[in-house]
Amino acid sequence: MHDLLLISRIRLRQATSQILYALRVLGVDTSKTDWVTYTYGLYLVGVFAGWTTVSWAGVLHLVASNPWMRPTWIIIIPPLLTFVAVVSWARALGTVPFKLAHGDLELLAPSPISRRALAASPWIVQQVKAALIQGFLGSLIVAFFHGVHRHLWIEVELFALWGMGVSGWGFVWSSLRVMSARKPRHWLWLLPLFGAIAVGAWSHTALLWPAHWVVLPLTIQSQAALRPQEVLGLMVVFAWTAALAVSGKIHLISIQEASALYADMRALGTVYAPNPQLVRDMVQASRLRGRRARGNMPTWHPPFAECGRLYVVLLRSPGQAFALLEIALLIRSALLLIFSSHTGIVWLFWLVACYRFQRGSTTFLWQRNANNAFIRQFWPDTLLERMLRSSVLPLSIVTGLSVLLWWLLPLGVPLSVKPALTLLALVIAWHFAETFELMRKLPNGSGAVGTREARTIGMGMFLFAAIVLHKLVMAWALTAILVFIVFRQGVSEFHRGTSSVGIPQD
Amino acid sequence: MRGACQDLTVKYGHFVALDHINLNIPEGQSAIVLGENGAGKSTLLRTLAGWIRPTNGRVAINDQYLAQQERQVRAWVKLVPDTPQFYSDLTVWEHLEIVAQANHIRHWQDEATSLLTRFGIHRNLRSFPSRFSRGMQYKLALVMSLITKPELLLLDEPYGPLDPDSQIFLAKYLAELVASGVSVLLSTHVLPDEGAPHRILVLEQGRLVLDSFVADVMAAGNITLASLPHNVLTRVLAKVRASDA
Repeated sequence: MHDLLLISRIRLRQATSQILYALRVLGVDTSKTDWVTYTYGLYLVGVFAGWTTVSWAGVLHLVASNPWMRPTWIIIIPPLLTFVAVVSWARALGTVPFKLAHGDLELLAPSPISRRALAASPWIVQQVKAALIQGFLGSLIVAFFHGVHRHLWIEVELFALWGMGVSGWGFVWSSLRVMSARKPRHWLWLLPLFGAIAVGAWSHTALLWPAHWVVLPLTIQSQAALRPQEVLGLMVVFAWTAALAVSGKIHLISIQEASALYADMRALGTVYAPNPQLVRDMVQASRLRGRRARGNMPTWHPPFAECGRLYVVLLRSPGQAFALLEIALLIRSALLLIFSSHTGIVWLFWLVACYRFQRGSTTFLWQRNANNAFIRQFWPDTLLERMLRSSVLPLSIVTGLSVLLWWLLPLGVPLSVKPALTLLALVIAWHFAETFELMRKLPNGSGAVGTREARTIGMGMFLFAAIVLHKLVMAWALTAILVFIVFRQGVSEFHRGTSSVGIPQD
Repeated sequence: MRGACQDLTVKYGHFVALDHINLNIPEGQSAIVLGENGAGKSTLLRTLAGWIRPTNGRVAINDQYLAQQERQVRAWVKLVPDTPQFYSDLTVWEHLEIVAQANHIRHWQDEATSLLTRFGIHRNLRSFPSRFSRGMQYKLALVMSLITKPELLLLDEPYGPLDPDSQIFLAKYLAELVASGVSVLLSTHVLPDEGAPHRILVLEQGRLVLDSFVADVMAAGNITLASLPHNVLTRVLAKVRASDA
């Protein structure tokens, strides 16, 4: 109990500081304790609560008013819930039940503190999250199939219980996985999948039986011997009991190993959310650290040295290759918009997709060169030359993939010269919009961030011009302007005498 | 003249990191920069290497100004920072390959292997540097810099992350480099007995408060080499602060 109180005190302090930080962001002067400050804080809480409720009600009625409503389709929910549970348990068996941040890792983990006390707060957070998310999704699902049904609140309750049960048992499986000092088996995540296949092959009714209780009030609730809340409630109680039993036996070595990256990301604090690139780099570096180097870098000499490097990077980080494919898909969809749309405004949706697009970057090799001052000093050429050399292959790949997708799925845009030239202009505009933004930011040392904004602005200008005016001419004119700006920026950097962009670390 | 700066000033916003520094490191000479944390040592090295744009003043290597002949000057200078960063997806050997390719260096493999062996990291050629300890990362960064045969080598805290044997090896190796005509400027708080530099510089809040030959300082103050950094720093700063007061 002493350990639990200690951990509770620490978590309470952490939660308080997070809430205070959020309040400060919202303009509350947390150093004051007068009634004006309290009133403003309460006002904010009220506004947030009202906004949440109104948004939820709005979405619920929007979903409930769908024209394809078919109450009989409710039978797809148990298989869907079962599938989600199996995937969730497979994921749980591939990871640890909870992770620790810095501070916990250095101070609590090496101490003889109770493992059960350490697991308590993440357990509670997971349970609350599961209940809220599943309850919310449940309400939408029921509204989608049945409209605003009289059993809506019961269904919210059942979905929430289901979510808590699945999450709770996931925690138990995950804890069982790390009960020994031995390195956990990598293949354990396959067990739920094979288990589900085996049970399903024997009797699919048995496989779907637990999830069946979630939708019982919408079907034959009057004939059931037990109330569904009781059945799912029992599932949750068993999960809690099991979690209580196994969490005390968790071996912390696996938790510590798995927490290193998480702790580093948590330490980034507020940078964590708005800088997904940094997080991806950390995840990638951590992933590679634990592996043997795959493949060899071909020894090609300049100007093809970068091509060899790209080859080995794509081999070791297939996610980067996938990102190039994603760009090709986006370019392909933009082409479709330009040549198939008659409204001239639908491209705005494409821009939203473009802005939300997090991963793709044709300049990623150059970014890595430009952002690392130590590495950069080994390149004898200028930033602009490096950009050109490191861009040839990514641009060729994206163009090639876009053409391939176009050829496979023409979707009413014929393979002809005009759209082909527009496609090429799109790819180059994408690349130079990124480059322009990076070059603009690099000299003041703020690093390569903001590529999304650059892409969106560049592509927005491009698409607007291409659609509103005569497509091809303006497309190339705009691309030429972007190229010109980038070159001018590069040349002026060169004439200023240095392309140094080091971030002071003194 | 090998490496020099004239009236060098670097500001971060209103904070003056380097304040009108004048310095000249001739060919085949080594110097150490001493100073408390935040005195401007790393900024000085980074500015000389062209990583930071000076607010005022000029940097020149071999009579060529960095501002005018950036490419040429960069080829002559290499800086190893206290925490070098690497490509996350390239192995140790591939980093060396990239450096050799980019700088058109031929027949570098034997020298690189020899250096890696002498630094004790030759068994990890297929490893990713991110897996290395800080000391091993520093050694790799040193090897990467050394195979480019720089004329001015700038080292930020080179002895700190290294084990005692590697410290001695590095000190001896730097002495060999200096004897062959390379100029070396390093910031440090630790100095092995084998690492006697020619000159000693002391920075205090961005100002260069001492620029003297080590032999003169040691003779005047009855100081041993190992105790030099601490002794000189304490005495010089005490004197400077007394005169300021």
